[in-house]
Amino acid sequence: MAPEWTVGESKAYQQKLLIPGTKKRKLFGLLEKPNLPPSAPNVTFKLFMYGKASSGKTWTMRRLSGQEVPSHHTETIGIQCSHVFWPMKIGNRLILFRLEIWDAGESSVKRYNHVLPACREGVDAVLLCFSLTDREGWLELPQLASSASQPTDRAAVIGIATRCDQFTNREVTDMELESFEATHGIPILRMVPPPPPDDHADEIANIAPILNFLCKRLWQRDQELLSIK
Amino acid sequence: MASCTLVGVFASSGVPLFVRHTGPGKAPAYALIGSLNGVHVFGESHGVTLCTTRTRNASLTWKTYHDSIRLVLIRGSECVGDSCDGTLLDLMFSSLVLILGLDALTTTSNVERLKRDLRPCYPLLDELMSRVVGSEDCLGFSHLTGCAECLLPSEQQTLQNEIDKFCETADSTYGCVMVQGKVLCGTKNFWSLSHIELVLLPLLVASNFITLARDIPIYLPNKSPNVPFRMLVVRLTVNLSVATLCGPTPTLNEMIRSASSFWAPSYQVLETVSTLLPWNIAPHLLSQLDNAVIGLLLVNYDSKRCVSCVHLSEDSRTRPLNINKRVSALRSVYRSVIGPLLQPPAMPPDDLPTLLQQDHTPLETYINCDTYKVYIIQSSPYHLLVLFPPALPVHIARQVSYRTLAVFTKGKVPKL
Repeated sequence: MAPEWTVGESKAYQQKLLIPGTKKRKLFGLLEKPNLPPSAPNVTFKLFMYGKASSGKTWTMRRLSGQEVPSHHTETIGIQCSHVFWPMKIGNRLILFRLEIWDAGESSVKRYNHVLPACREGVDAVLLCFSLTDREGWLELPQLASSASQPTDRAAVIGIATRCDQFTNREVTDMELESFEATHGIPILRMVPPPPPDDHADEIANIAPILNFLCKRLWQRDQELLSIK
Repeated sequence: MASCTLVGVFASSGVPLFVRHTGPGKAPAYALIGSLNGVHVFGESHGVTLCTTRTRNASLTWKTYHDSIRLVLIRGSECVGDSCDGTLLDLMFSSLVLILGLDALTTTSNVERLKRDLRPCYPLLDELMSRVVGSEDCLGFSHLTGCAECLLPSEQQTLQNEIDKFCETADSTYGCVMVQGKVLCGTKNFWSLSHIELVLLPLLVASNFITLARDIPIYLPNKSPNVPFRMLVVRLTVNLSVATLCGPTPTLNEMIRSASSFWAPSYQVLETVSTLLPWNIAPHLLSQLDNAVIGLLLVNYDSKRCVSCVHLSEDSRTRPLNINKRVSALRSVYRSVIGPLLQPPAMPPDDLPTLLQQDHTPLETYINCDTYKVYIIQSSPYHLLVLFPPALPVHIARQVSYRTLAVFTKGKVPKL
């Protein structure tokens, strides 16, 4: 595993994710993918957003795929699934990661019993989503973490903390987050809002550390599973 | 700009369930909602049903559904209420049924829970309301015509064969291909859905164009109000999706895999189809239209389809009207002519006072005002509205309108 790769190179490949001439990320249909050298293998991973109602699951999904984030909460109906492409060099090989992110609305999960199994089937990673402005949700997190995945899946579990910028409403301290990471062995990613669209800030550079981390973690898990076999 | 407010109250107790508001101004206060419901209840206790009223700057419409939910529609800066408001309320109630099912809406006694359950319906209600106030990004007509908004591609037959084959493999008989909420082709059963369903399903698909795939439990307001279907939507290219109504199988994952392998060979065709936007009609039809035509709306009530085209003669130096104004011109003419004068559309409200007499059925008319002229032709099963610049003489507008109708109906052309 060689995580070191030059920044310039990554920039060149990340350009392929943008609408030409802008800094906006392109939307890809099921039949489409970014235009990378054909030698780069595609690897698909399934991720499941798991968390309480209004913990920011849809927001995170939009943020990872580089699309406009919703300004107010709307409950998701049924299951929604997005894919995020992320080119990354592992060792000397360029690999195109395709992260398929699955998310389900709370009331649909309760009303229809096909929803949760469909999201959990063949999952590679579970993203535990929680809001830093919700104390109750935080206290329930260990319980949520233990029910996140079946042991047979060997899914990677990663915490996603949302509303990290709302300092005045914050009800969870950094210290608590750190001690959770240590005791449960679950890394926590802190999501911040995207840069405002008008100041030409680089959305992709802004989200890159998070996507790099997710892809590396999934790749690592794959290697571990291979060595077990 | 006009504003629009929709209030939902629990009919038996008068408890407000939700308030949605679009446009300038604020949503009505709690007390006002109480009074709005109050006057209706007062009427009821005297054996009078209050349907609609007008104030100096608003028109209000009440309607109670299944004795359980009462909707009140308030249209600001609009002094003309008409039959369309009743139809609109029906559409709005049906969007609640679409997502929750009729039983959940009408039999519950737990108001707090119902309030919570209604929240996922907001995006659909908001979309309908922004069409009412004429927002810039909502250019559709389906809420007025009660027909599915369509595209007329030259590859119609090829696509039809593909969707029929795809639905066979996907274990479904209801399937369609849509581009940004406009139907490109659909299976025979898809077109057997009711008018209301054909208006709402495309809106629901278009309401979330970012996700790759969705599995949405829905109830069909007319066909199956109490037994849910699963609507599986897969976005194949940036703006083209394929939607199918399924039972318990296949799973969303299976659907994604099968759509990916089935549609991959047709990628080029699907890409060409996307270039129909924003005109909505095939280039060879477009080239036959007269230069004087700056907008048109064609509705076929039998096949439950309509097509609109407002991006015409845009390059001419005297751009007569911007796109938004063209849409609102066509909408307002549709509301004032179809129904009151020409034969009512396919989903007339029960209480529509018919102004038509058996021995005198008007077949064409025109409306002329400062900024535009619209010529309207009824030629069963079609209604055609053609938008012209105001200066064009009426007899020429008439000739051009008939020629335009012929472009879409005569000869070997993609049929609406």
